[in-house]
Order: sequence, then C-alpha cells, then structure tokens
Amino acid sequence: MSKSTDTVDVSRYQALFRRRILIVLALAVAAGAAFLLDLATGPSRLGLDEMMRGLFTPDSVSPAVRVILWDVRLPYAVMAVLVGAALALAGTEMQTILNNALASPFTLGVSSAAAFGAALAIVLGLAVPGVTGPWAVSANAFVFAFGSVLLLQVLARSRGAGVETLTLFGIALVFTFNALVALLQFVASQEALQQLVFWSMGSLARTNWSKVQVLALILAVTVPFSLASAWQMTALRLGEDRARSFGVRLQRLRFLSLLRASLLAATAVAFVGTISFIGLVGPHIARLLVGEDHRFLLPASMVCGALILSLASVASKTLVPDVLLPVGVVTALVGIPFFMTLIFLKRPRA
Amino acid sequence: MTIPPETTLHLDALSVGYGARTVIDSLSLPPFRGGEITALIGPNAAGKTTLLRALAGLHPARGALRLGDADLLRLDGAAHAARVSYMPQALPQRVALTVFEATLSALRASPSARPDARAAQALVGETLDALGIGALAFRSLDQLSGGQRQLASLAQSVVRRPSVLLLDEPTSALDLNYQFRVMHLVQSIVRARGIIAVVVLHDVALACRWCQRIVILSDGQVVADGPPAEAITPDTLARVYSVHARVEACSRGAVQVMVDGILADGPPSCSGDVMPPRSS
Ligand SMILES: Nc1ncnc2c1ncn2[C@@H]1O[C@H](COP(=O)(O)OP(=O)(O)O)[C@@H](O)[C@H]1O
Ligand SMILES: [Mg+2]
Repeated sequence: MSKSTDTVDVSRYQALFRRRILIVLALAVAAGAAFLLDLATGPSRLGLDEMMRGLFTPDSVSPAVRVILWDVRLPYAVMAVLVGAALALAGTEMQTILNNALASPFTLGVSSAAAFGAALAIVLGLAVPGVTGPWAVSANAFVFAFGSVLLLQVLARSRGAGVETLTLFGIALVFTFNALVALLQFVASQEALQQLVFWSMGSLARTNWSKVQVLALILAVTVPFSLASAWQMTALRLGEDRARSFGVRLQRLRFLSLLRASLLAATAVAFVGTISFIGLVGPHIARLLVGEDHRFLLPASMVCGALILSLASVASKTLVPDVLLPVGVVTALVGIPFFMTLIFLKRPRA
Repeated sequence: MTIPPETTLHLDALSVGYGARTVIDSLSLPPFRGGEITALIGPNAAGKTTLLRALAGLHPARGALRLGDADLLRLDGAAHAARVSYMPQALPQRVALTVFEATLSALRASPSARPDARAAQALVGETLDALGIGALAFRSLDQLSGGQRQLASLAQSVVRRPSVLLLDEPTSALDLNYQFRVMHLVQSIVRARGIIAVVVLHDVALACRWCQRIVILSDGQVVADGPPAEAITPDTLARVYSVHARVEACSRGAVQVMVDGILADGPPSCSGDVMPPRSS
C-alpha cells in the first residue's frame, strides 16, 4: 500500500472536471456531424447542400426537395437523435438505480409490454378508448409499457422489496408478455403477423412531426430532473447504505428515476419499436469516457445514444442500396465495433 | 457541525429486528459522550452492524434514541444524516469514480446545508491528506486494493463532519501502519471536535489501545460495558468468544490479550474443559 503523504492538488480535480466537459462537448460535435450525415443520406441522393438550402432558404429548392426534407429526412434524423438520447439516458438511470451493469431501458419489461400492447391493436384491433387510426398502436404500446412498470413499482413498494426483487419481477414480466405476444402471433392472420414482426423491429420510418414533438417534450420534462439528481445517483454508486448515510432519499430517488426511465423508454418504443442495443451500450461507452460522476455521465450517455442511432440510421439507408433497413436491426452492427474498440483501448495497460 | 461537548447519545430500550425476528432486544446503555471513542466488539452475527445501522437511521428501531435534545428516531433521513455519519462494512465494487469524486459526492449529494463547490473541494483535499491517501486522490476506486478502498470509504464519512461517527469495521482490511493511522485520525477528530465515535472492531488489542470504552455485544445482549480494563477480562472473553485467554497489562500499562485455547462447546466460563494451548 502506498505510504505517500503527497498533499492533494485540488487544481488537478478542476483539470479533470474541464477534461470531462471537453469530452462531452467533443461527443456532441460528433453527434452533430452524424446528424448532418444522416440528413444528407437517402435513396433520393440529395446531398447536404440541398438539404441546407431547403432548410434555410426554402424558396431556392424545388417542392419535391422540400417534401423530402421536411416530411422524411428531417423528422427521421431528429427522431434518431431524440430516441438515441432517450434510450441511453433511460439506460444509464436504470443501470445506476438497479445497480446492474446489464440493465437497460427494457430490463423491467417495457419493450415486451409495448409489443403486447401493439399486438393487441394489430391482431385483435383492441385500442385505448378514444384513440384511433395511426396512433392506436403507439397508444396501446405506451399504455402497456408504462403501465407495467408502474405496476412493478407499486408491487415493489408495497412489499418493501429491494432492487433484486424488482429486477426479478421485471424479468417475470418480460417472459409473461413474450408468451402473450407469441399467443397472439399464433392466432394472427398472415397480414397482421407481418405487420407485428415489422413493428417490433425498430424503425424510424414511422416518424412524423407530432411524434417528434411528443418525444422532445418528454425529454424536455425529464432531463432537468435527471440532471438535478446527478449527485444522488453518483452517491448511489457507492452503495445504498452509503448514499442513505449522505442523506439521499433512496426510495424517492429510485421511484422518480424509474418513472423517468420508463416514460422515456415507453414513448420511444411506442413510436419507433424496439431498438435494444443503445440503452445498454450507450451508457457503457459514456462511462468508459467520462467515469461515473453523473453530472457528466448522464449528458455523455445521451449524446452517445444520439450519435450511435444517427450513424445507425445512415447505415440503415446505405448498407443495402435503395432499401431502408429497420434501424433496430443495424444499430448493433454499427455500435458493436465502436464499443469493442473502446473496451480494448481502455484495458489496463499492465 | 460542531456540538457542545456535553452532548450525548442516549439509547434506551432500543429494539431492532428483521421482520418478526428481533436481533437487538430492548437494549439500554449509559449515554455515549462526546470526545470518546467507544469500541463495539463481539462475535460474528452478534448484531453489531444491525445496531450501528439503527443508530445511523438506516434501519427502523423502536425505543428511544436521542442525540442531545434531538429525537433521532423521529428525524427524517436527511436531518439524521446531517448529524450522524455511518461507514458501512461493505465496500462498493467496480465503481468508476476517483477517490476525490467519491468523497466529493459525500458532501454534494447531501440535501442538507452543503458547502459550495470550491469549499467542498478544499475540504475533500484536506480530508484525504489527513488520512494519508492524498496520492490516491485521482485513482479510480475500481483500481484500488481492499484496504485502500476502506480508507476511501472512511474519507467519505469523515468529510461530512458529523456529530456522531459510526464506523463498521474500518480497520479490517488495513495493514498495521494504516490501522494506526485510521485510529489516530479518528482519535484526533473525536478530540478536536468533541464528537461521539462508535467503532466496530474485531481486534481486541486495537480496541484496548484506542478506545475509552468498550461495549461487548453477544446475541444482541450487552455482556460487558466499561473502560477496557473492566470490560476485557478472561471471564467476558470466555463468555463471548468461548476462548481461554489471559489479560495482562503490558510494560506501558495497556491491556494485552493472549488467547491460550478454545473452550469446548460447554457453557462458557467453566474453566475446566479447556483445550490445551498450542505449545510454542
Ligand atoms: N437483512 C437481514 N435479514 C435478516 N436477518 C439479518 C439481516 N442482516 C443480519 N441479519 C441477522 O442479524 C444478526 C446480526 O447480524 P449483524 O448485525 O450483521 O452481525 P455482526 O455485524 O455483529 O456480525 C445475524 O444473526 C444475522 O443473521
Ligand atoms: Mg457486521
């Protein structure tokens, strides 16, 4: 053990602080670049300059370009950023709150419940009363996803259960909903089955501006609360007793954090289907880069998520010429190499 | 937070348990006084951690627990934490925080009157220096040895400047040098700030050397309570640990314990059935 009696140089902490801010900013620049690349990519072969002109001087481009920009490229690209950020943020909170590095926004059954809700709408035509048309599937998915997590929380609270129990309950829910979806698939018509399978592969092609607005609003509401709990979440990494001994109100922190994560994940999955990789790996990439001070980890995760999903969106448009692959399918293909590189670079140099 | 030296921690008919199971049953002790270190010793599963967590407000308890005029059992978590600091026995695993950041979070995560960012950073620097772990400040917790992480954990408790410092086996993973450092540091803050310290120790010699009072707990019951020379006797050691031990004063008067053998299971305190001491 080191017997050194060096005195601590507080300015080193400030340097560390600045370096972490710089890393988050650099990630944000990269995410911005990926967003532009996403905007400049598509089967119509319109490049960035046309998109920029369409954006800033709409009169200088043809109506067809305007339609491609405003109805397709821009909403998809913005949705990619929002969904990526939402899932990674939800994943970080889940991993911290459940004290489980393998947790993701879907650990507690959010995506399985959403799939069940969607299946009810697609196969049996059951919908949330008052919701019709294109929103029916999303509304169903959301209600089931969010409802199931609320139910879990109430169960866990009433029994005074810890996070392990909560996670186990969540896993039980995953299997239950998966079985119910399989049951519905079994009785579904050929057409409904196809629709359901396509739904569960995450795709940005279901985006429209209203959905973008809803998700943006939910992020705008949750992110400030998330950031405001950053220190508490950092303390929680040191252990439950430790955090409580600092005065952190653990029950409340856990409840509100899971509420935020579920809201974000349920909305994302309701609008674009299951995109599984980002909520698990986005937080890990961010952790490797900035550590676990959540003041940096939370924003870094969001930016990583946005970056990965934007790149995945580009890949989904370019991997197979003239075919738009479901982005949920290519996300892992794009993210894994990046992730593996980081892990290898970060291995102890011993 | 500084407290007047006459402040005491009163513990009266305190009961703590898990569900239907009572671990500490109606425990009453003379008050803990400021400026004193009390060692809480006893065999495994005696209820030391349970008692300490209850004192820290982390586990519900019945009875009376007062710090000065404050009824600790009625305070909410934040108010309790502002007065009482607890260092858990368990250390966190795989945490990508530097020692400095972790210690800073002990101040900044707190909902009650927390110092501003600069003051907190300065306080963290001082605390790590005082513990002799300044060189570890910017090492990540997940790259430290068990003993180093224990010191980092102690820093998180000490930096909060509590009125009551509760430490659960703070020296169990430390080498002789750091055992001394830790106990010396605890002694100096206890004396300088007049705070109350209750420290769970397994090392009876360490308890005798540093603590003014020793409480021996066994099966949730107090077996002995008093200054080392009164609490640590062959009889109490036999009753609590089922060992045959000698207690002698060393050349400087400090209490020394030598274990000569283990009492065969029978009722403790009968000195007849002693397993032969190993010849040295
Ligand atoms: N979470 C728990 N649930 C039920 N019983 C527990 C729990 N934690 C500890 N106990 C029991 O309480 C008793 C005292 O444990 P503890 O306070 O940890 O002992 P010590 O710290 O003295 O070794 C033991 O018998 C243990 O089995
Ligand atoms: Mg213990």
